[in-house]
Amino acid sequence: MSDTWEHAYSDEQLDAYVRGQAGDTLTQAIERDMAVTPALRAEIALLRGIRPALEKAAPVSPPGELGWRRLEAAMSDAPQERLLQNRATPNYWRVAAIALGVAVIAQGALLLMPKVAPQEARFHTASQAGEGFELAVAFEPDAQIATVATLLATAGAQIVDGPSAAGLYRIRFETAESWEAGKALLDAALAVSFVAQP
Amino acid sequence: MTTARDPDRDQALMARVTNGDVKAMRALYESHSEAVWRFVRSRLRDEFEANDIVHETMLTVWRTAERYQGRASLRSWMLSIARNKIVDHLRKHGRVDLREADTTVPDDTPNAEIIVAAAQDAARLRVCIEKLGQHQRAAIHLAYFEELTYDEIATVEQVPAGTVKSRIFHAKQLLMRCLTRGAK
Repeated sequence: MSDTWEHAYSDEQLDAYVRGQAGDTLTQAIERDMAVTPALRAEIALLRGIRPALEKAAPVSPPGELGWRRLEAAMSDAPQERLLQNRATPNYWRVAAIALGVAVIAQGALLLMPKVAPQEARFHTASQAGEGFELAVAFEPDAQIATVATLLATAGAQIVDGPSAAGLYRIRFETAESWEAGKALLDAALAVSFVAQP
Repeated sequence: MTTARDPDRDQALMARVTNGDVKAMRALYESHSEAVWRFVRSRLRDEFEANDIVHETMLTVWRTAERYQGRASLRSWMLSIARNKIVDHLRKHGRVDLREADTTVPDDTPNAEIIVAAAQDAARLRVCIEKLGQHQRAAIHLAYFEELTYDEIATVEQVPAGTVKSRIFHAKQLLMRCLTRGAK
């Protein structure tokens, strides 16, 4: 390109001028130079012409209302990712699974207790003599082992069975008083997702 | 006509869309669908294909609203989604244009006075724009119709800002020569 096609302005400066966003100083400078620089005059004319040319470039109208109706119908069949993520860990299934687990444990205990009682003794220590003061608990999936251990120690409970397929542990307390206090503690603990009496 | 952009309003509407507000989605659709459509039309000549791309783009906006971080303008975010849909569409139909925009400039000197007159003829300039390569045409559209910055165009087109600058520079040279030649 010959020297006559050079000018002193950057694309950003020319764009700002064409959009009417250039300051007074730049505007005056460009207009002064346009009078004596054909290349600048031509480029400004081109830039000013592009928008009107593009406005007429697509004579057919955009989707508009029909497009919206089509989109609205599709939206009802296309749940948002946010909802899908929530659905990926449905709480009601978890609660149902835990409740089922509790029922199975309770029923199993009732049915098997007379027969297995002598055998169970080999798994129990003398310190667990306070049989009957038990709870079924489930911990949050992200609960730390240290947190669980501290929680159980504070509550005065020991794990005697579990985890079941539903993630339930059976814990035992020494006394009725510690059972009640422990249950209240576990109910309020963030690391515990489920507490029930088996 | 493309609705004037209002970033604060866009942000507020997007927050509502993220929570599943259909009315907010409609407001966004009314504000931006035409711009998306025009952009798609700058890359695809088929009107029905363009409508499908706009539909898919707006549906993606609805489904993935929570991914919008507000770093780029909502308009550029939508256009970048549309750009990806276009690329996927072209690839799917075996119409991928892997060539970079044609940067060869005919060896003839543009005539300033002819250009000044010809640039006011929208139909004539439109013919010249249609002759540009796909990438150059899109860059010109985004810069001078959507008035995006080079950085925003780079985000939409997923290329370095320097590439955008180069595409626009060569596109302008080609347009000026096209206008000059058209008069001869």
